[in-house]
Amino acid sequence: MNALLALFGVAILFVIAYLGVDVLGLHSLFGIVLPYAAIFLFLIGFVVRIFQWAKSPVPFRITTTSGQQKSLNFIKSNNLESPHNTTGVIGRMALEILFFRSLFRNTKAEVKENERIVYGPDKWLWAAALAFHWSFLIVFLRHYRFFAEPVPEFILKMQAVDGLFQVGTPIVFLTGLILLASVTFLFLRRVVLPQVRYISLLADYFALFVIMAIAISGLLMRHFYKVDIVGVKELAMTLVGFKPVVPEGIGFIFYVHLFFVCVLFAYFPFSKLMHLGGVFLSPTRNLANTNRIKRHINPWNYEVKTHTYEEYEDEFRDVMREAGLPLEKES
Amino acid sequence: MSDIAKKEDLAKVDLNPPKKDWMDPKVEFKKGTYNYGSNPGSMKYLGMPFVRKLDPTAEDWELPENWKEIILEGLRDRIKKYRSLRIFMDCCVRCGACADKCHFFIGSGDPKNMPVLRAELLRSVYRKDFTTAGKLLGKMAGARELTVDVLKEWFFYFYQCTECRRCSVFCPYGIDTAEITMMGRELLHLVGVGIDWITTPASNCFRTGNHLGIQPHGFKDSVDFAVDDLEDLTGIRVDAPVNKKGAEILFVVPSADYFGDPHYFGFLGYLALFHEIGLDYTFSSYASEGGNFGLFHSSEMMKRLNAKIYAEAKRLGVKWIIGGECGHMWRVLHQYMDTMNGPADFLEVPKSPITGTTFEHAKSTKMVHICEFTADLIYNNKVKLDKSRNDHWKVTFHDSCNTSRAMGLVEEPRYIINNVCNNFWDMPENTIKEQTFCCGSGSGLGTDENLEMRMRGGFPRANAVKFVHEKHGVNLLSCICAIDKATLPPLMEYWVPGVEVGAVHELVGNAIVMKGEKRTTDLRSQPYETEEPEAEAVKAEEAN
Amino acid sequence: MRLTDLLQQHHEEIVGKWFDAIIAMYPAGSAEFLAKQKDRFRNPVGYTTRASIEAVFDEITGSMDSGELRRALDDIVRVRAVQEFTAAEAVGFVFLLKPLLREVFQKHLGDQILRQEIVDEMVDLETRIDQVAMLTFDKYMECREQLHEVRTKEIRSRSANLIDSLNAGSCVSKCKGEPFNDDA
Repeated sequence: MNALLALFGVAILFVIAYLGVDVLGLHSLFGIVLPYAAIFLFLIGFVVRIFQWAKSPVPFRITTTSGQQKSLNFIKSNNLESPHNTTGVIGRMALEILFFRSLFRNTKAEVKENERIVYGPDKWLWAAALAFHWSFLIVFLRHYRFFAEPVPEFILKMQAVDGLFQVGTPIVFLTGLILLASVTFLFLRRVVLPQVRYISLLADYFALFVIMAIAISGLLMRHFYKVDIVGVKELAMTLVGFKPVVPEGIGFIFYVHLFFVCVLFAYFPFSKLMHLGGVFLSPTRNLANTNRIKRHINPWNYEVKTHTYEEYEDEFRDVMREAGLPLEKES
Repeated sequence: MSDIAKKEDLAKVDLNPPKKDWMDPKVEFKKGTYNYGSNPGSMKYLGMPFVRKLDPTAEDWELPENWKEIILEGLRDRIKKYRSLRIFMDCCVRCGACADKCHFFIGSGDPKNMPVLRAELLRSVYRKDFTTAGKLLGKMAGARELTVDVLKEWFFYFYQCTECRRCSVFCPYGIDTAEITMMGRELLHLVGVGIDWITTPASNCFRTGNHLGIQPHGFKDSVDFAVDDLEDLTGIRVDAPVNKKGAEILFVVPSADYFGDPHYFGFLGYLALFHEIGLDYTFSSYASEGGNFGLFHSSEMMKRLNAKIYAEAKRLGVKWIIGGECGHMWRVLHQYMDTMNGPADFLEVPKSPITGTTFEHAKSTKMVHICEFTADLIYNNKVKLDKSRNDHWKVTFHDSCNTSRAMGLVEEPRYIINNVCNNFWDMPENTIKEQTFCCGSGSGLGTDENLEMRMRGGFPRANAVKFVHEKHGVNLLSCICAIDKATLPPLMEYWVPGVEVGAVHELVGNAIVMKGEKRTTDLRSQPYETEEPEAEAVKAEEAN
Repeated sequence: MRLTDLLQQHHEEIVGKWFDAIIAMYPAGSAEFLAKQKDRFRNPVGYTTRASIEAVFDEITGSMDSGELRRALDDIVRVRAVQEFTAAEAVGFVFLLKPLLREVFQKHLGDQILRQEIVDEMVDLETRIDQVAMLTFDKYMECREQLHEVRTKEIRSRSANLIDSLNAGSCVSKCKGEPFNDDA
């Protein structure tokens, strides 16, 4: 149900792009105004959200430890799973952000015939998530070729590796296919596994569909409905130079692609996609397990009502005396 | 024939629960699955608002008129005060990695026990009132109105979470359901909704220094009683000072250690060990509880109860503090105490007077875990140990949630166990250490009225114990947590009969060879296992 | 063809369907997990259920040894006795086998199902299932009683400790503070 609604929403977006560009011919709106507006919303929204997070203090150091702490010299500590210094924290965060360490933790134990337990991987989610995020990043970076002249060396190298197989004209980029395949897998997983279907919200499907639409329109544009690539680059360069001009005859599919990208950018800061920023700030991960080494300060620590020893002794003085316990005051 | 088949089909239809959207908040308070409401006397003593006797099954919870405002205001306040909460509310992607990691979900099959959904119970309300999308799109954005039924659902499910943090280990963003549960419980307390198994121990602790409400003379008697017991067992009379000023070390244990069974045998173990190494220490009747039920109540209550430890250390003029075997007590000591009630600048950096080791890792908090202390003694050969005295035990070790996932104390207890007994087997890898399964009764849920729920939640743990019990004949589940020691025995009795539960320091107490001792039994008064004559004969033959 | 041969031949299919029917009694959001997750430590409920009914089925089609049956039933009933089931639901899983078997017989035997020896065997088989159901009920009661014992023991040991502590103190009455357990 949620998936259908989300699909419906994305279909409407497509219709809007179609009507706007093909029927009404609002090329400037879709080529200039919306991209600027989307980027503006994205930047402002992103900064505001990060600012909101940063404004809330971290009152306690609540590291989730996933390995041996640093304590006694003869016990080997695990600086990546239970970091005791900044290097450890950076390492832990890098493993998490670059390789999704926590998702990788999923193992499956099987008891074999000879009563031995073997641990097999149960890592579909990890593999798909990793494929999705990395390919998305590379695809994103590859697009930089439209915004720079001459195209920087590393982009060209990246493209060369990406098109290693030299299939088709223009050459098929591996990452484009991987992106589409992995986002499709992530979607199917949501629909097929009842457990995940049960927790999935409309927003979860929506994000996947928008990305899917971007990937599909991108691939179509590159391989099937050719667009005027020189025109695209011209538009991109002028957008970056803040003197935007929309060249004639770029091709409808380009505007669809661009429109979905705009939707994604504009939607980003208001959605769960902000995990891009959140992952860096999560207090259970980005704090060292140095609780007993260094005092953590809570900025809003306040005085509370306690039951002092004096009050305690006043209440129990007689029984304490009788039990032979030392007293501060005799009466 | 076909007629009969049809009738069976009818019965089968009845067995299937209706498919419901999770947003429908109706919960059924079935006996055995929920906890009783707080005792008004305890609430009043602690100065909690809206004192009344809550009956969770009642239609009317007698909430204050402006309860909704209070809760939403409380949520707003906490979002401002805790980055953790704000981020955990905003960036869950519902990937489902946590879903099958919760022992309550695994044991009960109730989908609302998936950590992600437990958090969504709060998140949906957050979206409705604190996010643009939720305000505009409502249910489509996963937002829902805060109603009395939602509140009841919070009560039901936030008291079906043991704050064990297992889900947080698997979450790509480290989203910690314990943090969310803690906030949820704090919000419920704002409108006078809590459970008695937390509120009354907390109020007892506030007044007398320990959860059980044992008064100073009762505490002194308990310690003296243990000293007598140890004398009966070993022929050695040890000194166990209480409230002694000027002692070098203050020793704080969870109160169950001197009161509960099988905790008590671990307590005897501490006494024997400290005597043997000649430690200058003292107990305190005022700080006679390290365990902190405030942690399960609210951060303010945690601070109020925890304050006693540093205050008493200061009053008695000790140099540093050792803490006994306890899980959630160590969560508070390790992650909260110094921040809340520090700095402990009146204490010295802990240094073992026996080995000379400086515990650099505790140089700010000045409190050392008994397992760290003992492991250091063993490493430096300061105690004489006879492993064979534990030969009647085939041991496995249950990592408690808090020491493993909120501290990283994983190898110290294993180091000790391997040095005090000959037969040790760990449970399967994905059920121990940072992936350990909770006992199912932590965070104030370890009482009798919700026993069925505890049995469900503890099943994954018991199932792993059963495996080593059947494979290696394991008969002792050792642990370093007072709640474990209280709640694992019934869990074992039901799921894995034949497995006892015991403290790590009970094994130490058995193995330690004391100067001048006369003992023939272990601390439970069971005779040591003597080698069977046949086995000896075989050995003799082999020697020939 | 005799029924027992048929049962042996289609063992896998029948137990599989029985398992699916039992798991379908759990809420929709978790049934799949309980059915599909094969790791016995990650999914003890599914694992135990499967292993347990496998053994029960072997007995139904085999020697009906009551000791073995009790042992096999213990595992599954112990789980269901603490879960969100009524007594009827908790033991009712046994009866799910009946319509399932009929379906299998109908499929594989067709008209032969009306032959006298088959009918006799079928009656015998259903009687066996009824017996298993009775044992299941016994087991269920045993588990419930044990739960009550555990509960009582917990309460008793708690109050015993309390009494000990009161007895230990010689001067309880002199305490100034009022105990506040007014209506526990």
